[in-house]
Amino acid sequence: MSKILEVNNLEIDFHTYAGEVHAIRNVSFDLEKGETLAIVGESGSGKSVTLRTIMGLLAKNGEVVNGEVLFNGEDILKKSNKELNDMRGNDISMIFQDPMTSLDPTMPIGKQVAEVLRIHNSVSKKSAMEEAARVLELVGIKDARNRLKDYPHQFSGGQRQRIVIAIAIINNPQILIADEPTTALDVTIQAQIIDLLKELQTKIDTSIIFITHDLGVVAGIADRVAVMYAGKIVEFGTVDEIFYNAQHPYTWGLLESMPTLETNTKRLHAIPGTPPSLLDPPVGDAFAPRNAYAMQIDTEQEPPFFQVSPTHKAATWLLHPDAPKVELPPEIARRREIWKKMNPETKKPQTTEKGAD
Amino acid sequence: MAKYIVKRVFYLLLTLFIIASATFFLMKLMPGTPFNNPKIPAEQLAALRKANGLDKPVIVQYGKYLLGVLHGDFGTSYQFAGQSVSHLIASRVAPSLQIGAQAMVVGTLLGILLGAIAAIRANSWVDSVATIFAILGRSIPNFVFAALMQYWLAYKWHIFPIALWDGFSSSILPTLALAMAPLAQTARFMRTEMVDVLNSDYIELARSKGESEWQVVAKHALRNSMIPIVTIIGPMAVDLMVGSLVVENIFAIPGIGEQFVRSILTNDYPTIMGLTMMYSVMLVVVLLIVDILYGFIDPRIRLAGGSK
Repeated sequence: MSKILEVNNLEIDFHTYAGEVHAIRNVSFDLEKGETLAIVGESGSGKSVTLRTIMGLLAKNGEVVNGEVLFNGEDILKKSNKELNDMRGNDISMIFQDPMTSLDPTMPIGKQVAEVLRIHNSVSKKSAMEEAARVLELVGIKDARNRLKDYPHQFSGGQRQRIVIAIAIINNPQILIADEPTTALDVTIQAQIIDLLKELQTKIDTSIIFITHDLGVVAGIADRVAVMYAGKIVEFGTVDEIFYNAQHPYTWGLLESMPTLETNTKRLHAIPGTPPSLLDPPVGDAFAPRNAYAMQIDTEQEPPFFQVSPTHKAATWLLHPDAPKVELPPEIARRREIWKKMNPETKKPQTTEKGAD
Repeated sequence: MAKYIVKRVFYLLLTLFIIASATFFLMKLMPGTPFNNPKIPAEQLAALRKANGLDKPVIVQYGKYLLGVLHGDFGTSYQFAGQSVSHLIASRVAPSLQIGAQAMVVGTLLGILLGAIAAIRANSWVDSVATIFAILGRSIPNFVFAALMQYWLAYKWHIFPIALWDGFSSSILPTLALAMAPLAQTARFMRTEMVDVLNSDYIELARSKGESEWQVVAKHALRNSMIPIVTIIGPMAVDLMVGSLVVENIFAIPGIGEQFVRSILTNDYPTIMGLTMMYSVMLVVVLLIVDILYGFIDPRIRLAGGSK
């Protein structure tokens, strides 16, 4: 597999009236060809900002302070507007969160789908429309040929999201960015959309970056998972590593707050407290104030990434060789048991410190 | 759509009937008569009243009047003996309509342009300049602009004729003076709406398609921002009709506005009623056009109206 996208040491500040908001604080990750990477984290953790930067759609008051975003080896951040326009909707395209508001209400849907084809390819209006109908059928709009002249309000939420997906895939992009594409849909439709994305991924051979705060969705679609907190990635690993061998207390908190069939607690766990203000990010581990396992060093020094396996790393002092043994929350302990069964030969995680840049 | 328009036309006629009746009875309640010169002898007054049908019971006069209106006949002006009101209006309506329509077109088009530019460059100096311009345009009465333009553009620099009605060039200054308010209002509405639209999800999606900022504005933002503009066009047309009274006076244009004021001062019943009806027809027709226009710009309204 080859890396199609590499984000290295990305730092983004937003200029606001209140001051500089350090929204993204040294984020690095990569995307393999054909894989699905999920980025999870609560609102304000920097998921969307990261993806908008990849699209070259950072808000005007945002500034990339440091870092690079390499797409096929070329730095997106150094591209001109013209080059970005050529890339958007063609090489990298995006699916938005709310299908009810992401289509132009005054333009027939056929035109909205055909438009993105015509921007990047010299095709006639007629053949663009035919192609639009074909792709709309592909994403599950029935009788699409006769519905090209219909307006968005004549479709349901799930159908509209299918139309948005048609717009995103019509040019066979190399990367598909999905910004919480199922959040605004009801659960049965969510499952359909997830299935559709998986099916399309194999059909058009694309890589997907999937933002969500729904770990259930992650389990169904992702190959690898990045957990973000307060503008940083705190844990990164394969979907099994994150679900069954999580190391960061924040990931534990997320897993504990997800309902499963196995747990029969009366109340769902909630992570206490609120995320820190990124106007003035805390010293040390940003999660420390909400962390029952926080140690003295968490408030003093930022934890570096500790490599748990070649594919798994987490930024928590608990992985330091000198850290005391902690008793895991019951839900996490249960998951560790499953992990041991899945990997009987696994020894105690070999933790090696990796420079924190 | 056709069914919707037919229904709207029916309501339009009903509205006009009510306006015609209300104007008639209000007129009857007005103190004084058209012939209030104390020097007119009683006998002659009676003869005048008889000749104009004013001696008959009110209800008979009302019936006669409605019948006339249906035939497009508003009677004879008292002010200008023997001249029919229809002829009076016809001979004077052209200049008023011309500057009104020109002001409407210039005002809304420039306003949309100015508002769009301000929105695209929101919070920059361009936006501030446009805002100041719009506030001035909205708050300074049009006769001030009229006088200033007469002084500089006509009297000092001799670019345009200072007054009177003589060809297209003489219509430019009154048009500009009249266009100022709609221009300012349209610009403000356009800016506010377009800032919202430019921050909407579907614009973000359009950008993510790889459209240039110019394409995004031209294909998606303009049309969506214009929906509320259509709403204010109706009231704005009324503003222009009223506004033209003053502007016509300043530029000595033989228009309908000036005629309206004089007919009220002299209790010229047929002329007042004729002009009121004319303004009413213009207004309800503008409102109907606005509603139909709505449907063309916003498909959601088109279908809602058609399925009623």
